[in-house]
Parts: sequence; C-alpha cells; structure tokens
Amino acid sequence: MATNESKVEVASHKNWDLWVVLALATLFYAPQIGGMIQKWENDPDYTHAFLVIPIAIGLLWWKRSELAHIRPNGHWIGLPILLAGLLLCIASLPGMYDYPGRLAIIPILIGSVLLLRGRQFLKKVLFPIVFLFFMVPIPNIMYSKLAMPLQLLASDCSVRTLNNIGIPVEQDRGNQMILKNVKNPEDKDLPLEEQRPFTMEVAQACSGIRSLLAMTCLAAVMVYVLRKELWSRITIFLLSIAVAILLNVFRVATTGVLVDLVDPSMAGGRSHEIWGLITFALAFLLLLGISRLIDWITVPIDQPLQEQREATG
Amino acid sequence: MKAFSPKLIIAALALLIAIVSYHVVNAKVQKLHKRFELAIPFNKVPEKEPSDWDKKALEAVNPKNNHRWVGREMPIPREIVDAAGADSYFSRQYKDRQIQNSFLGAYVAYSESFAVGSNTGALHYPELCFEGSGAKLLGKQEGVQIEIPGYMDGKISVTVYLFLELATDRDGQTMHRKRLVVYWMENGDRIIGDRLSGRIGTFWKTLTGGRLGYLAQIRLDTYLRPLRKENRFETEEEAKERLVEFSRSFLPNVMAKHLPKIEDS
Repeated sequence: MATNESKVEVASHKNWDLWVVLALATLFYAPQIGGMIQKWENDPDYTHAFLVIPIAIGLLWWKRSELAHIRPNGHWIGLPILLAGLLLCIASLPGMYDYPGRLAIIPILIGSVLLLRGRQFLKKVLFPIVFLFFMVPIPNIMYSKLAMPLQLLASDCSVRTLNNIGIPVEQDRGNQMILKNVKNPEDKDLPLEEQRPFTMEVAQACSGIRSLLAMTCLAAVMVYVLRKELWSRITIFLLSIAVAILLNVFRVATTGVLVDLVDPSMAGGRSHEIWGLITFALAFLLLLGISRLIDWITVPIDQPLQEQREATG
Repeated sequence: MKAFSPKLIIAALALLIAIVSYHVVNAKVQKLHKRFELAIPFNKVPEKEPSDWDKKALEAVNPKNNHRWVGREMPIPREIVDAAGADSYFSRQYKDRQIQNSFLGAYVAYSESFAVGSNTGALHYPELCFEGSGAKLLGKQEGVQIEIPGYMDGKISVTVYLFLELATDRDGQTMHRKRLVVYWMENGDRIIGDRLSGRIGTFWKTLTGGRLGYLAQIRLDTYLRPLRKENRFETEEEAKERLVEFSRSFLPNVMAKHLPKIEDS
C-alpha cells in the first residue's frame, strides 16, 4: 500500500510540466470563463454549468492512480491540435462570436495532453476534457431553433393528452393553451358570462431545453461512471434526450391538470418550480431504470452481473 | 534538464504567444466596438402609442406618388424587442390608398452589438417568430433578386417566405390567412445573404480595421388579399408584386433615412 502511494506521489511530482501548461492554458482561457460565469449566473438554463468543471476535476481525481502508471509518450501530433485551439479562440474575437472561442478549450487540452503525455494518457482523460462542452452556453440562434420546436411539441402533446383525459383545452397560436373549464382569475370581478377562460402559456422556459441541457450533462457523467460498454453508454445517453423531452411534456400536461383541478396559480410561481424539480428527479430515476433494464436484458441469468461487466469491461 | 523537453518548451511558448495575441486582438475589437456604439444615431426602443394613419407625422412613402402609402407606428413591447436581440427597431404598418385591403408591414431590427447570432441577443430568421406564434411555414425561397432603383446597388437579394396563420375576422370567426414575408439583412453598404457570410464579413472588417457599421434585419410583409369580385385570394406572385412595388418607394424614400451611416472617426 505504501509502495503504491509513493508511486503516485512520484508520478504526480513528475507531472509538473503538465501543470505548467495547464496553468498557462487557464490564463489564456480566463476571459472566456469570466464571460461564461456571467451567463451561468444570469441564465437559469445554465445553473448546472457551475458543476461542470468540478465534476471534470473529480473524474480526473477518480482516475489518478491509473494515470500515474501511464508512461509519458508525448506525440507531436498534439501540437497542431493545440495551435488550432488557440487560433480558434483568438479568431472568435474579430468575428464577435463567443461560441467557438469557448469550445476551444477542448482542442487546447487535448493537444496539450497528446503533446506531453501521448495517446494512452489522453484516452484516460478524454471524457473529462470533452465533458467541458456542457459548460459552454449554446448560441442563442441555436437555442431558439431548439427551444421553439420543443415548446410547440410540449404544447401539442399536452393539448392532446388533456383533451383525451377529459379536460377541454384549445391550442391557440402555437404555445397558448386555453383551458375552457377554468376562468381567468383576472376577470373574477366580472359577471360569470363575461369571464374569459384561463390561458396557460408554454413559455420558452417550459420548452424543456433547461431540463434537456441538465439531463444530458447528468446522463453523460452517469454513463461514464456506471457503464463500461460503449454501445450502452451511447444508447443511454441518447435515451436521456428522449426522457428529458418526454418528461417535460408530462410536466406541462400535469400542470394543466393541476390548473384544472386545483387553481390557475399552479401554472406559475413556487409550486410550478417545485413540480419542475420533481419531474426532473423522475426523469433521472427513469434513466437509472433504463440502465438497470439494459443490464437485465443483456446479462445472462446464470452469470452474475459483476462478472459479466468485468468480462466486457 | 530532461524535464525541459522541446515539447514542453514549444507548448509553453505557443500558449504565451497566444495569451499576448488574445489581449492585443481583444483590445482592438473593443476599440472598434466602442466607436460603433458612439456612432449609432438611433433613439433607444421607442414606447409610443400607435397613432392613426397619418401622412404628415410619419414619412408617407413617395410624396411624388401623392402619398400612396400612409403609415402608423406599431410599437413592440420592450421585452419582445429584447428577446429578439434588437438594440433598436423600426416598426410600421402601411396602408395602400389605391388598393382596397392592402396593408403592408415594415419591421427593421438594428443590432449595435453587431454580433450576428452572438450570445448578446437572439437575432433570428422570420420562421422562428412566426412559427413560434402558431403560423405554419408553407414555402421559402432564398436568393430572390429584387430590383430597387436608387437603393444600395439597385438590386437586393432576399428570402421570401409564405406562412399560414390563424386569425379572427370582424365577426369573431376563426379563419386561415396567408402572409407573404420578404426578409434580408444589411450591414453598412452590403446585403448579407446568410449568417455565415455576415460573420465572415465581420471577421474580415475587424481584422482590416474597416468600418463595422450596424446590422439591420429588414422584414416586409403583407397578407394575401381576398379578391371578392373574383371570388378568390391573391396569388403569392400578385402579393409579391405588391410588396415589391411598395419596396421600390419605401426603401429609397423612408428606409434610407433610417439606416445609420457610420463615418470613420
């Protein structure tokens, strides 16, 4: 045990060249981090992004003993990758387009690791580096292109669901849901026949993109930590997108039910936020369930799960 | 000595040069950006109430043509303007006094930030806002050339959209109607065909220290009119002709006055 620890210590001591490059890369990338922190603070869609760097560091820490035993075998192929990343970041300035500049940290780190440590080392740290993708806010134009269809999908599916379960709803102008049985609270002082039905708007915040971004981020870590086989990692990650979208439809539809059964105030405020958190937790549990289901389907009955994983891993 | 490998030295050197270059380029970009902000002559988002049709208060299009089109301001709530990523806007509705039921919309979103599709705003194509409000895209034609004598180079390249919308008529009945939209972007003295060419243009101008100008997204639209005598609706081509005719008066006479010209300081 003591020998192993001293090996790790010696190895990490030898890593000082990597630390120097990492420190310089951080210095270079600091303005981008500053810009992103502003976005993370001000945009509720990116609150999960605060966790991305700590998680990436945690994953590296988790792999530290494996990394300590890899013999450095740097390759010059890392240099053009590093230079491309640096150039991309600088070139994003005159184009006044932050997105590629912010993503540039990925080629910068990949190039540096490849240059100083080689392919075997890179293979071990590739996921934590690529995982940084989740901290970069997507451009607004891309966001709108994603959010709008999701918003309409959530409205369409919710309207159909509510009508099918006997709650009369009419869809108006894409994302407006008119609940015919519920009166608009703003008209409470008017005679009953003049009161308008309550309109529930599926706002951009309800498009599901927030849970989609957070869920895919969480799913990426989950599959990396829990799964060994590449196919199951990809399958579960892709399913996380479907689960996030599906659960958002569920959230909007159930909000409609709550508005119909309880009160129009259920469509907003704290109760709406809490319901959002509950459905997110449900989505995560569903994803874990899918992971277990894959185990159940793929592992032969007479072979213990751990054994099977070791065999495939 | 072995620790100072050539790979480490080169990586460190590349990063050091990149740090310096980043700050030099950033300083230059900020300087250009500041100059542009000072040059914008617009008032910020106006918050006026819509006026009646007025040919005096607003520039009525083409006085030589006996003020054929009269307009009124169509203010847009600030939160929508902000969500649309515009720093300033121009929004009017025009009425053709020679053709019955001929209404035309003119909307221009100006972006000071100049960052096409940046994170500072959400400048977007018409399909997003129209589809978002429940319209269905029926058709889209890119690169349509329109001849506008006296405006830009006399010819502009636009995208033509056709949307199907739900509307409520005078009797409160829900009906479908089609809306034709003509859209393009301008940056100073050039028409931007698409976002990529806009971004490349921005990149090149900044590098060469050229004038950044503004970014304007221009959208003209009209409904396909019902032709009651003929018991049909206008065709897409007829509506487009009407819109193009309006553009030929509107762009040189009204729009040109509202596009800021940025002079080198």
